[in-house]
Amino acid sequence: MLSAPSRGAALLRSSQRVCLQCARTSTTITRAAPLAAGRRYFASAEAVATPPPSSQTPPTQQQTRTKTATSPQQSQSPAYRIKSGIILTRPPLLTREQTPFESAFYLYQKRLNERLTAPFRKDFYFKKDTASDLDWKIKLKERHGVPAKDIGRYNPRGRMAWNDEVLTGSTTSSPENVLEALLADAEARVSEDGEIMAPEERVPVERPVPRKTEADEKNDVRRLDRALDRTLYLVVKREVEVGGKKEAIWGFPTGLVHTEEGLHETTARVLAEAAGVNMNTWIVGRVPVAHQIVQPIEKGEKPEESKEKLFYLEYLKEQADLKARGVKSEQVEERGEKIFYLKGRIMAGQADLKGNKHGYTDFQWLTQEELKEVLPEKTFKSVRNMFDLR
Amino acid sequence: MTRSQQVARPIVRSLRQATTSTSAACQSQPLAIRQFSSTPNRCDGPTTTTTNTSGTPAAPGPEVLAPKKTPPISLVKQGTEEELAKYLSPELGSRRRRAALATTGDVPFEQLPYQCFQEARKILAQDREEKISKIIAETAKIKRLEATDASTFRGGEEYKQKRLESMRNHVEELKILADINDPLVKRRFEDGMGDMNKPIYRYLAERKWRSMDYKIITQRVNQFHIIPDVLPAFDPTMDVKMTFRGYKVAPGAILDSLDTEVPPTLRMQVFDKGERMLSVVVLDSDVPDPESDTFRRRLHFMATNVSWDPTSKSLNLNRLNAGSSSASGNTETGSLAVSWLPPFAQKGAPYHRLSVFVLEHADNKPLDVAKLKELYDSEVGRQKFSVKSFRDKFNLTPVGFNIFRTVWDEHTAEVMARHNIPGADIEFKQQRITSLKPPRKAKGWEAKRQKPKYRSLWKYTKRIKGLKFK
Amino acid sequence: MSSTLTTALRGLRLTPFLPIRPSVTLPSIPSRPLSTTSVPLNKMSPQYLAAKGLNKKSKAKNNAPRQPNFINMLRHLAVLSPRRIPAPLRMARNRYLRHWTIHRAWLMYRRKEREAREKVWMRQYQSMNHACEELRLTSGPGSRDEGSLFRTALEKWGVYGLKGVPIEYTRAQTETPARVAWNHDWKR
Repeated sequence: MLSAPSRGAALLRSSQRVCLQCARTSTTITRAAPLAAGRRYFASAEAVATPPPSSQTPPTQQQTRTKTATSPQQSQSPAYRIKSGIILTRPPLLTREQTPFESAFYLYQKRLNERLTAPFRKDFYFKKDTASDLDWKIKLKERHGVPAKDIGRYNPRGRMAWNDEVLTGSTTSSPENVLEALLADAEARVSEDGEIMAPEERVPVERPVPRKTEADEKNDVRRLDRALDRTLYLVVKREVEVGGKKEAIWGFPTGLVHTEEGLHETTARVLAEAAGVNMNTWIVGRVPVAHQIVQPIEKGEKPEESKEKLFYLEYLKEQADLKARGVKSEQVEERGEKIFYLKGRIMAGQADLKGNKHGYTDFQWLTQEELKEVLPEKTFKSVRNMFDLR
Repeated sequence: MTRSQQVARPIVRSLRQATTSTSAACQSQPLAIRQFSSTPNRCDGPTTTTTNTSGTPAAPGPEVLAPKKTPPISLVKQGTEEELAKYLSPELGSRRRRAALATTGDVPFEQLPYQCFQEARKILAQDREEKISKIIAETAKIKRLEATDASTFRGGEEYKQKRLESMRNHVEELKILADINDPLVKRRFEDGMGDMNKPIYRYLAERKWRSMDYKIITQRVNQFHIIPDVLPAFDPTMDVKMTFRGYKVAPGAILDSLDTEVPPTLRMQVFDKGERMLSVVVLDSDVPDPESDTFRRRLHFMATNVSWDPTSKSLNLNRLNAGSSSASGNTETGSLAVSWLPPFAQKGAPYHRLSVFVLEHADNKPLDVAKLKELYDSEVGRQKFSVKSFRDKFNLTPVGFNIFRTVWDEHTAEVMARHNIPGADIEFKQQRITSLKPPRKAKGWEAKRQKPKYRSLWKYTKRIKGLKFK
Repeated sequence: MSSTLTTALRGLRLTPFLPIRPSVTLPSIPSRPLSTTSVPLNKMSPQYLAAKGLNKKSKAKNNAPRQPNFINMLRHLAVLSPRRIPAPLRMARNRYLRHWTIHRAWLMYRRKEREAREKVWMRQYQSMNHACEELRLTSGPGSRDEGSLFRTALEKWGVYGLKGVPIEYTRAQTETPARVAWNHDWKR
């Protein structure tokens, strides 16, 4: 936009075109409200505190934006504590189930393909008068002379080749049937020395493991081999004392960001501290995939007024912690929180909460629907946009 | 039921089906209305008579095949011809057709119990539901917007109208999308039985027209230089086809003057909804004018106030009545302003382009026929006519076009005599243009040896005629 | 000519000598292991002519058995001949309409799937975008200035390259699980 020599002039002339980093580090330029309100559409942080010259920011967004104190000592007593959390996910291990239309369509296409391809050349694949040749002949006879294994009883070269559509209610196209057909075909019918085996002599082929595992049937939400075609998310529980009684809160593992850390370092540390090191994980990227904000209570604000801000119990606990530690600032009664979630993937291993420093007492691996049941509403709403399709 | 009855039932049923369909369906669909069909007509009996475009009838299970079918399916599939002939007469058609009759009977097309087909229909039906709910939501939105005051928008009334129009267009688009995947709609359209009041059929018709006929017409417009000779710019938006004496005519064909003695019948199709007023103009843009050594135009026909909607099919220009008011059963709507002058080309003149223009009236207002007659219905008026000035003077939009050509042929003199058109004895000849350059001097070895000096060589050289040396 | 032939015949191994026409079997010549003289081979004998490739009659008739791989190739070509390749599908009207319906439904189905997928990607992108915007406007922790966390998050050090993505993460989805679906006892 600007040519190179004019950049410096622009820096001196107005703060509106200065890049953010320059604006922050330069001492000559004060943090002017127009910078926020005029140039950056979303940056209404300052715009809330100082009356903006043109209120272009939509009101709905203002509510969700964060508040910052207007005073210059803001950096000494920030209104928010910054936390980093990890959303550890197990990617789906299985493809999804076929829909009825898909399986019907696949069979339809297979049969059309059979009608159109060159005839099967047996000699090319089976040497004459070998065991495999005999085996093939037996199986071909059982399939009524059709080389294709999974298209049901249909001869694409016969007189009725045109009749290639299966009727409604037929199970030929179902994946289970296709599987059975393939398994039956894989079974050896002729011994190595070319003798036809009796049914009791035949060695059945190893069947594939069913898609529903034992953990699925028991609905063991702590195991990772359940819901294999869905993404699972790790959530942890902690007990919080509110008004004298203990409440269980489910959430993602989170922890305070130390001063010298980046978000991803905190995330890795928190994960190791909370769920043990015996997991083969990978943190996907360093930028947060979701964030959550807990609003602070300002000075002079009564707790009743700010009740809507206390949207989950964990917050109360945090506030209690703060009070105990005596962290106070002049402007802010209670500090808020900004939680940035990073996405992690687990490839092997299992979470282990033994001796964790964060006070977590339980964990679960849940699908996104189950998360909705378990998580506090606000937490769920702030992270649901990072969920996968399934 | 006795055994013989049982045996005869499928035959009787299929025969009955065949006869009813031939008597009812085939007679009711004359060939002429199948103008958009790309496939041969077929009497499919129940499949063509089903009226349901939207509904999702429950897919029948295989029980529709199983019960009371006397010929077992295995027989139909594997039996010999003689065995099968006992159940289904060979007259019913091919083996395949008989098998289809035996297995599906008179099940309507959309209920045929094929698995993939039925699953596909479920997907399409679900999509249609979505589209319809979208239409409903969008219509409600339009209503709300219509009710709101225009002053609440920053753009005012203009913004509101623009927005309304785009929303209405969106609804029209959704209407098309809701029906475009229906096989019955496709079938009905191909049979030429689509109701042109419905947007889907208009859309399909336009798509078909644009795929070929439109391209041909625009090619004719360009290659015969209708642009810029007749109009400075023109893009047809409706389909116009011509028949002379009942015969279809390809655009741009050179026609016999006997055929063109009577005005043509126009088969016109518009693709946008609603009633509109049209004018039809036929003009010859190649009338030779030897005095000024140029070509002039001549109006051959003009009809106006033809009221037209998407369901209208054809307009017989011969049946237009001269008076604007009288409307008997035999005449078309619309009035004749300038009667048909048979197109003719004098001997020796190059071909005449006769373009048929269809123009749409602004705001569906009829034109004043008397004024048109006064302007154009005379020898001078015909010669003065120009489509461009006609368009500008009466605020019309040219929408449809077709063209034919005419040259001097053996019937032209006869036709001209019958209609008292003078000039049949005139023959145009190409004027010989002599070169302005002086004759070239003969050069070369031969020419040089023509001189008397080389008389001795004359027996060896060629004599160049007309070359003289002093 | 005959001398070369006889010298070759002396070794009684005809195979290296006569691969002139592979489809013709070799003539059987009585072995004379102790002889040192040349074989009085009848020059007009069919064996001799066949071996020389001169017998036009036997070539034309081609009644000698062929080699199996040659037969195999012929069969292969016979299968691929246009006569054996099925004709394009021809469908009656109702059948074609059904096919058309299925085809349209399949296209529709694929499109819906694709759009759902793209919607999820857009949602995820928006979520990341909002989180990053928030991070950019955040100062801290401690005395760190505004956006410092954001800048560290955008650093690409070690993100790309061979170690960027762990090899275990490249596992493709399958239709059925492994015998042990998940390794719970993995230890670092």
